[in-house]
Amino acid sequence: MRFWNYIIMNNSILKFGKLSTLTVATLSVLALNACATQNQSVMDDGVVISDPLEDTNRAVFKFNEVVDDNIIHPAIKGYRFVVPKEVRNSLGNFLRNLRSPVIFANQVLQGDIEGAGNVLLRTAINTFTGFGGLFDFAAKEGMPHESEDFGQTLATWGLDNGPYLVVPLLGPSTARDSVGYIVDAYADPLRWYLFDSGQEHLSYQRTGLNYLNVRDNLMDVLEDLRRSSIDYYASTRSIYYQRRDALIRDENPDDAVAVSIPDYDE
Amino acid sequence: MRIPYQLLLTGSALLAIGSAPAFSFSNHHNDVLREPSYIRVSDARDEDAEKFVDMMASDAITFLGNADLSDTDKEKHFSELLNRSFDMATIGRFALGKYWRLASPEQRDEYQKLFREMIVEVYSRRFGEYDGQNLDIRGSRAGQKDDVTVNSVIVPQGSGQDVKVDWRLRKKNGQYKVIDVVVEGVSMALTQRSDFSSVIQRGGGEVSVLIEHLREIK
Repeated sequence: MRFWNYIIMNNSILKFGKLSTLTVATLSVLALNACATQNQSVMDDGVVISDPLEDTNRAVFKFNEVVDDNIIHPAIKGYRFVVPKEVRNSLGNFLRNLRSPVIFANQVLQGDIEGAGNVLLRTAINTFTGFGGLFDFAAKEGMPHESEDFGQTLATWGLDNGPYLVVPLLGPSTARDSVGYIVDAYADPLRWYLFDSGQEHLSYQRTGLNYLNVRDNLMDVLEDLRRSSIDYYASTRSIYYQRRDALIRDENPDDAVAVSIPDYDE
Repeated sequence: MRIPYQLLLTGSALLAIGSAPAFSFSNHHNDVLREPSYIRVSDARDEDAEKFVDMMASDAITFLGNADLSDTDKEKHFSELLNRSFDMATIGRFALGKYWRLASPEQRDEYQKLFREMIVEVYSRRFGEYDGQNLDIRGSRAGQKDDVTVNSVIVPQGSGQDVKVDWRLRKKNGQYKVIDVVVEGVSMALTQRSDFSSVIQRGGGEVSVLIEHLREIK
């Protein structure tokens, strides 16, 4: 079953012509991998969760919860109290616009030419008419933001998630996505520029603001999830895999392998 | 992405006007399918299903946005909405996953009852977050068997990001019921199942452990 799920998943990648030979080559490796790895639960829609480090992950998760409750979330509440929603949204747009070179590079690496064109156009529109990216007018014109990162690129190349990881302060990730995160951070041209021109402090400030912005966007969702789950760790893990899977598919409904919910009356 | 969608909309609107008798008075899909192929463009969308979600959303928005209602009243409205529009038996059973088979008939009954109560309880706590958002229907598509997925977007009032919500519906006895809600690619049913399986697994594979937890939430 698992094997076929992989075939289905990877076929949808092939359809898009995203480095298909690599995908084919890794396909068999993935299938073997999926059979060999222990300590994993399988989801119906072909997403395999592999969590061999669960005990450590749960400990880090607990640690993150304590930090969130005592430092991050109170800080976000203060931030929300002081900074109006419109300004916070604009900051989010601005930071996202700065990420454009990285998003563009990943679209190209994924062979998604339409997506790459979309980033270029969005960046041009938002930089020049949206006051340096403070406003996302492109999205209002029917060019929504597409989140891309090197973890997703690796996935379209056929690389498996690898083990699930909970990273201190950053939260859920996988081996693949952590590598992607580091590659994106170091490959960012804006970071090079700031370091080369002796303005590292701006780069660090940007990282700090990014973190603030991400955590601001996530706080309510995570609090809801925590309240509605019995095992918060398990539901967070599930949501991480599902969300990443949707992003890798560029949220294209044609590729979505819907969870099969049986008809129990039959 | 938006341009083809608009084309499709305009196209189907034109077709709907052009073929009004065949289109609007026929509730039988087979009838529509036998029509010339150009009608299939509109047939790709399921108007009944979209209307069902739209009505459900207006229902919810009406009671959520009503400042005169107390929290208890809202909870009652929500519970009724669940009864009317959600196939809770299917959702509950799916969420228990493989452990359904291991549960005794008494455990199954108690679990289904507690699961339903938990959903009401958990979502009722979120009513305060309602802030004038609207639900825009964006389309629909046929899924596995008789299932239909209705795509919609929660649009915030003022600035902020849209949230994509897909409603998976199943027709039973001629009536649509929601069997899953998928928010930005995240299935509520699947998430619930991951949560429950983990609780049971870590509790030594005993369904009673989950039931105990569900009792505590009440």
